[in-house]
Amino acid sequence: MASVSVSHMILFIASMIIAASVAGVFTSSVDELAGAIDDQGVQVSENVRTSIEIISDSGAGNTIYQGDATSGTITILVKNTGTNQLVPDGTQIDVLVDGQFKASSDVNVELLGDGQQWSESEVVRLTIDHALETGDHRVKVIVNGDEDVFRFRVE
Amino acid sequence: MTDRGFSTSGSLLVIFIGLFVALGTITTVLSNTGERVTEASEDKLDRQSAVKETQINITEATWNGTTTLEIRVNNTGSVPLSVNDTTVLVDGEHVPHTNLDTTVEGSDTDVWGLEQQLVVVDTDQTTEPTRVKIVTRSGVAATATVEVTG
Repeated sequence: MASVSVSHMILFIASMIIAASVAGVFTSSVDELAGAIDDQGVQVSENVRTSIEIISDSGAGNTIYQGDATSGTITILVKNTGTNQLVPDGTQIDVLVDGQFKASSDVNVELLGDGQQWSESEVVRLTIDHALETGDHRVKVIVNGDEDVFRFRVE
Repeated sequence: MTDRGFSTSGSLLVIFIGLFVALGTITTVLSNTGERVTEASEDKLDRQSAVKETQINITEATWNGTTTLEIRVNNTGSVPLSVNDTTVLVDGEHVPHTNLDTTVEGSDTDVWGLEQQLVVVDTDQTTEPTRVKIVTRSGVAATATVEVTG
């Protein structure tokens, strides 16, 4: 009789351990899933709140491109027209010149304001090392998934 | 039989508690995420609405031949604008607000109301400018050529 009780006790403990393991694995998996959903939500929210506008004046002579066909710099002004505070460095800003991706080492970002952050309505100056020949060109700036294209002509 | 039944019930109870905790976690996260994304979407709709309702018109841009550039801009849209959020470019170069005197209908204010005129004066413009561009908070812009009066 005692051996039956002991075997039942062992079975009971084993079943509880298995149940606790199943519940533990399930809750930890759901926790990880919840964390991923939360991160994704933050990312989507930031992307939706981000809006930029290239405000350079394409008609203002040679202020956009300075240089010749072998070397030069493109200077464009980008305004934060969204409600998300952005980081004014190459890690968050992607630049393409005539479809060619520019490495962050070729792009200098200067915040034209007093703060350290690229806040709402503030403007940054992007100076891009890139040689251009005479003709029509385009620069695409991408920040947090929002993009703007600027077309200009080099005379 | 009773012991076996108790084992099964106990195990199920533990699993159900785990499920309950997991369900609570996922429900909270989904609710917070939904709220955050909804707020961001509403914010975006507000911005799009502001772009549609914003309109400005540069009525006059003059340089006196020495140092003073004066730009007169009318708010012809249907929303009030912010003077401090407005960007001024002279010949493609950004001019910081610290270098500008701005008044709306003669007042030193940030609120640029409907049908009101913003006057921007740059008294440090020693070289002859040719073009000016005014960009509002939402990115709506107006451009004009500068007339030399001096």
